[in-house]
Amino acid sequence: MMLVIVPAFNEEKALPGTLAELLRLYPRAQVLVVNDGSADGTSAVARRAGVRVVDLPVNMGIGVAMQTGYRFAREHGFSRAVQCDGDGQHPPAQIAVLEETMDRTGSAMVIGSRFVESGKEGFKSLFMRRQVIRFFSRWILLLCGVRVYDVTSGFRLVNEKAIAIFARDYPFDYPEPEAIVLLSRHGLAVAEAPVAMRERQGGVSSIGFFSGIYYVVKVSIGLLVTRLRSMR
Amino acid sequence: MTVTLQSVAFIFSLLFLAAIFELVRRRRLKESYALSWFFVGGCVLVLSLLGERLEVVARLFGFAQLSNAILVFTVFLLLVLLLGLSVAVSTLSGMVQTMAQDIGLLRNRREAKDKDGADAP
Repeated sequence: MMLVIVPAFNEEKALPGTLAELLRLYPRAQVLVVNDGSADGTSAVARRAGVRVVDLPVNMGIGVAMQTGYRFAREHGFSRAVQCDGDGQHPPAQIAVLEETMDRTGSAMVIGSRFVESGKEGFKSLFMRRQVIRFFSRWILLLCGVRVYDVTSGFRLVNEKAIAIFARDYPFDYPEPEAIVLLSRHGLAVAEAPVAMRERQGGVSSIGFFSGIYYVVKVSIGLLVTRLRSMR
Repeated sequence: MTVTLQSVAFIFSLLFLAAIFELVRRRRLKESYALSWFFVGGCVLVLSLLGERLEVVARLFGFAQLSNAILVFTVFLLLVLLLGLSVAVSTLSGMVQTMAQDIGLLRNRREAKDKDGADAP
């Protein structure tokens, strides 16, 4: 069974469209919205769509929201979980591509990537953002010998082993790149699949201009620390 | 160090220690955190009692001025205290994270249960 985890913070505008598409395309999967303490009608909108909702009592950030989804997946015995943003950036139709890649490669995590092969047609991010992603990508390659291009993509499919790890230990602030290092430290393989992403349908990016520098420093150190941490 | 300064420091450190003790007594401050503050109060008390001898110690470490020695010492002491507080805050935020997740997951579970109950005849 597959669980689609949709983390949502003040996402009432774009959420209904994403959820409708998910339910239509994957009737056998279960959809879980993790409402990260939204101030708007995110929770109500999700409930109206008929999906399960976990409301966090306060805004805890994307990492904690995602981990809530993984804990749910673990508690309910799901064998696969997809991370799919509620803002419409991640086209639900492309989940099939992630699944196909996981079936083929047997990787513990498949990342929907904007930078491999045919992924190029879809929405690509701004120049500076791309440079930062390239830097993180090289840093991860240096730290653990894993080649991932779109390290910040939050569009991911993980298997049971990765669910178990993430339910116990998931990075919080800007978790995507660190999660790759975490899995690789547990000896699990990470693969990439080309997907066409769209521009967000509503809401704003979580990273502003000035917090960009903080972001780069924080993630670079975070990656190093995750690499050096003992994995029990 | 003048006698005036010495007595001011002495009285201040006594009041400081009394304030900490009172906070602990009223349960406004946990013993575990109070300990480090007692240490700070104790340090100030000892320094105030040392008086003239303090200057000899400062010379020994190569400080030209006693005030410099005290300043450096204070900065290090505060750094250690602040680091301790950051560690405490990190522990707390980790706890809050787990608890927020627990609340969300439990509510969801109860909701699902309520729904099942309503569906049954």
